[in-house]
Amino acid sequence: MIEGKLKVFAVGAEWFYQEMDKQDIQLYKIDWAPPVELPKDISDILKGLGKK
Amino acid sequence: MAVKYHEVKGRYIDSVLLMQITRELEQEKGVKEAAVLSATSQNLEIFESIGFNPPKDVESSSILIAVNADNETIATNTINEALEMLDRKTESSDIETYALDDLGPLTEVGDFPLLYISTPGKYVEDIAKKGLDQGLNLHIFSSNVPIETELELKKIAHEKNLLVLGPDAGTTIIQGQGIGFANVIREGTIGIVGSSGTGIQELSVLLDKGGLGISAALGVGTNDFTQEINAIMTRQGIELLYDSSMIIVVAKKPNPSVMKEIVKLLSEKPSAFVALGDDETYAQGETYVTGYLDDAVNFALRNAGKAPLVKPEVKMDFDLQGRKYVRGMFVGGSLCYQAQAILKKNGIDIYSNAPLDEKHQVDKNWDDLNACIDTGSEEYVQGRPHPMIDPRLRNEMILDECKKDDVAVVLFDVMLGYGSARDPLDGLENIPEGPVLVASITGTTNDPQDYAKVEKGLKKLGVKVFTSAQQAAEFAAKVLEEK
Repeated sequence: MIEGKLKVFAVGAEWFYQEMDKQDIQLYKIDWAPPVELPKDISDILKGLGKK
Repeated sequence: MAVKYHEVKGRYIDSVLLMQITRELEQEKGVKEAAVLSATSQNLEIFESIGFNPPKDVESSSILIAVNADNETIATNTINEALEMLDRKTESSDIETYALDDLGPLTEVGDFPLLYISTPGKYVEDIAKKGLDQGLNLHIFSSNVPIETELELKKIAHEKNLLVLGPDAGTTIIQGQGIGFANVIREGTIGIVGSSGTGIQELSVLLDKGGLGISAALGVGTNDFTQEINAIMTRQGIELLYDSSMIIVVAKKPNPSVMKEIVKLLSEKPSAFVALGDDETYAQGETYVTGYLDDAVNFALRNAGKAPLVKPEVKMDFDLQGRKYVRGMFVGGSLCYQAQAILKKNGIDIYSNAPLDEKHQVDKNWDDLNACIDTGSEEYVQGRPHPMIDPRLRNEMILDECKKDDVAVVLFDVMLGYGSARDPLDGLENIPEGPVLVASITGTTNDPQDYAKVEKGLKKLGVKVFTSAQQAAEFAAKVLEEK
């Protein structure tokens, strides 16, 4: 059996956070945003530097 | 005509809510086209595909609002409306948020801490490892996580005696609470472990309809039954729920040798193994092996001294007038798969975008074929929410099939529960007469949708409603026998 009280930490979709929030769940929202995507040319340069 | 763009910097909101906002904006008078999406490179291509030409300097971490309206005033007002909606729809973002790196202090001895991850798949590995490092179990809803990453995460978790449910896990129910897409099921003594989200939903709902409850339902993710993953989490889930009076395992296309090991593992315990769509039925020790969800539920009901699932009496009161094809339009992938197996078993040559075998693959043209379509598969959810969240595209597809004069029966599923649309019949109001309409409702009377209202709504549309997806598919096959 699953022992202990369920405690959910939600990261990502707001929809599912809100759906869990409507239930009797001890719920915590995790602060998260996707990392900034670098333009491909800059990203390639940085990858190249990493290899040196 | 006026086209306007607005960049909201440094804000992340998931695509489901953004698509809801887009949909509402498009209904505004004078708005030709609208799109609200995070400005990732992939999404910028979506903007372009619908006729926008987004600014080149927009940052990928921003949300981009694009509006094409009859005039400048309407475009400006629509942008402002979108901004208000962004705030309104994310009211819960006003609540306190916590840093992923520092969750330890929030867990106490005796808790069952679970990190629910529903970010895009490419970010999962980093988040998941941080969770495992802090002693959290994981439920990973996200798909598109490489199988090597899944294996690594599951090995780490196994060593720490933690669960990794997923990736691509739709449903888990723990202590009566639904994680992801889940119905409100009475608590009881049957444990469910499965690699199929809608399979778990249907199983748990049917047990509930039959008067039984569950101790927990653990969705281990689509890949757990592959040879690579070797059911690491299915084994751990079975061990965790071993005190249950019975365990039911459900898997779609399980690797045969992995399945054999799991059946052996279960065989000393009252249990059932559902290898969805598999025609072989047998008993091994205490384990009943079947290909169909209802069979497993009826086995559990029989073991508990209860009556089998109710089969409604449905009249064959129709005239097919030469119509000959079955078209299944599903939001649940596993229910689509099971329906194909049932139709095939009844001698119907059935095609699908998620077929039983490669020879029966179709893409977007199923004219002159019997077909079951999984409308939740990748090609239908590009740039839009899953049809369980927004059923309108699937429902439009039902309407389209009803307009065809060679379609004899349209078969579909209606999914209720947390995570699913509150109005699953949205868009079905003007369903044309023609084919026999057949559906099942995967839901309980305690779900947030009104079960009785949904059932009444379906019947009002002339739909023949069944207790289970299996019964509905069997009836569809019977209809075709009449042609």
